[in-house]
Amino acid sequence: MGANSSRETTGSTSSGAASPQKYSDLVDLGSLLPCGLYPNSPQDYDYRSIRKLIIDRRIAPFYKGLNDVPDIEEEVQQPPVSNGVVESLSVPVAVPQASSSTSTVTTKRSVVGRPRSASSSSVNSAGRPTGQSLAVDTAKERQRALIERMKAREKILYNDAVECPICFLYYPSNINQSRCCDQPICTECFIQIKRPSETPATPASCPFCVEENFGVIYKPPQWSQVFERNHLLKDGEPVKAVPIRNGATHTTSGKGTGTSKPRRQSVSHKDPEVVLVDHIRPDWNRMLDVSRAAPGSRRNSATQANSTRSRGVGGAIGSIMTRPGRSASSAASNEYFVSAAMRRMNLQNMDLEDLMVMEAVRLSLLEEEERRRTQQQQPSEQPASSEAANTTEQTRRRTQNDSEILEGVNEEEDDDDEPLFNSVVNGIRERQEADGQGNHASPSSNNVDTPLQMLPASESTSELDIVELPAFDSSSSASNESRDQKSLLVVEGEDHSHLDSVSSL
Amino acid sequence: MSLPKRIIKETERLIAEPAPGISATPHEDNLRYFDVIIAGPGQSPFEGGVFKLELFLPEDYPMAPPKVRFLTKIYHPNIDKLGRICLDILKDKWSPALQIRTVLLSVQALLSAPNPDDPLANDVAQHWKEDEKDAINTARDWTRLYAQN
Repeated sequence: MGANSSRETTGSTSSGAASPQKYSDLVDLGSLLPCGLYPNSPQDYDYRSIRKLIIDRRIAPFYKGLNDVPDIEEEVQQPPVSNGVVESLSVPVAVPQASSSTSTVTTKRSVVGRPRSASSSSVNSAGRPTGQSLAVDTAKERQRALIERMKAREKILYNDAVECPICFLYYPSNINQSRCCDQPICTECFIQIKRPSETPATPASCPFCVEENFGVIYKPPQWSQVFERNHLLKDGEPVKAVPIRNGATHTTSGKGTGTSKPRRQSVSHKDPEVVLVDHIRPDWNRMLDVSRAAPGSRRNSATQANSTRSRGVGGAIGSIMTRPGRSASSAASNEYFVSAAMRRMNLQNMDLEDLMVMEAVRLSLLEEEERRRTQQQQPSEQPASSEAANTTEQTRRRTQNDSEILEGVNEEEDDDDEPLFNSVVNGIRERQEADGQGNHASPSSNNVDTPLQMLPASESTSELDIVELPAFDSSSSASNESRDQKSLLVVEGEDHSHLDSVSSL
Repeated sequence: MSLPKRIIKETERLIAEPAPGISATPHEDNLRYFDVIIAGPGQSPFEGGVFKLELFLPEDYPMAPPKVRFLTKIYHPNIDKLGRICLDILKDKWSPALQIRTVLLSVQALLSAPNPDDPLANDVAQHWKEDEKDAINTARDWTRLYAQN
């Protein structure tokens, strides 16, 4: 077991019951990535802004919305330390290899030296870059205590669930509140609210009380990791008994609202605590211009948002991700590589530099593979139809799933313990499979293929993107056209049919 | 494509606890498409009438408003010949916190309170402004002609 957990700390491909990883990837037990409630809406928000706002505890994380009021879990007293995961954590202290590798990781992190969220720094804070095993011991102890606390909290997270009045799903009671009328709203719904497209000069108004300048406030719960830092010093203390209002709050069903607390007074939209919808679309002005210039179908606008976002700094990356000329199979291994790499990374500490390095590696792999492929094949052997691409695509999926199953062998607990990114991707995939041979283009399927599309929008414009757009919009008929022209355009056509087949899955 | 949970919940509640004078039934083959019946409200020229409407939830519902249209002919300054409805919440004043139920209640309220100052059917609005009594009589006639049986 000791070896196992040391592998996890060093970030190998193991996707076993990675509890420490899991809890440090979460913010107040919620995710940094949306669940995909709105697969058909253009993802025209700036993901990096959202991520930062979540980490800074200014908007709620993306919690999973429950369909129904969950059964109330008894608030369990701190379980004894005989829990399997905890045992496996306490063992590596005795294993020199494990402790040294841990200290390497922490040292490296502190070198980066940028503001981090409380969750990761609470783990790191004790792991001073000295690498002394004593310090590591304490760090482990604290981490263990934190995980225990979070695990206990997770069980009762939905005990006082509130219903988001927009998606009708139930969330932990600490989700965002509208600044004006104190109504709950989940982050996934919040990021869908934007300025009216017809009158972009008008700020978005509150969906509940129609007040202008819609904004939300997030109050991290008392058990938030933000407050854990001080708490951790008193080790072994049981979960702080925060009085919890058991029972859900319904907002839409007309069922009696459990205990109605007095409504908070309206907070000005200029208050620094308030997050406005413009904060997650820093370039809302330009975005609206873009959407006005080319209305088109919904799929178009989703595509457009993606490519707009991938310009500039991310431009290189973005155009690589939707890069023409990768066959389904070569894309498969590389995407797998990226998702594996993503899984290894602590999402909160993921930096643009990391992304770029990762992307560079991926690119070179991709190029190498492509080179090999062109050597093996005659150029005339391009996959002839989008059907061919389709089958390859399916094979790719199967392969990918298989390797994940292999990887997941270590998993002992429920799938909750999957690393964040993995579970998001799986979730999306499951949804797609549930949709059967779905016939809608869902941006989330693009997510699977382009995990990096959450990149920032920046100013410079890459010509490649512009060239790509029209071809991408058209369906497989475009690939017929471009196939006649050899070289790059041929490949481009092929790629688009591939992308189309992805989105139609 | 699977139906968003919200639509499923709204439908269930509409069927379980229908609003008075309003019924909305989804089509079996398209759960985003509803057959709607609104009873003409009392003390209005539409009293006694049974008005059929269609309601469609677009893909981006609830971020975009539902599309609602009268199928039964109606003499109303805010409803045109094609049954299109001039109602702000169906357009720029839409809010994702509104629901099918609230929309249909608003339509019902519009029948009780025609607003000729914000017309969709210009001739009807003109009639309403110039001779409200006569316009109301016409509306009553139309209700009897088209909305009863």
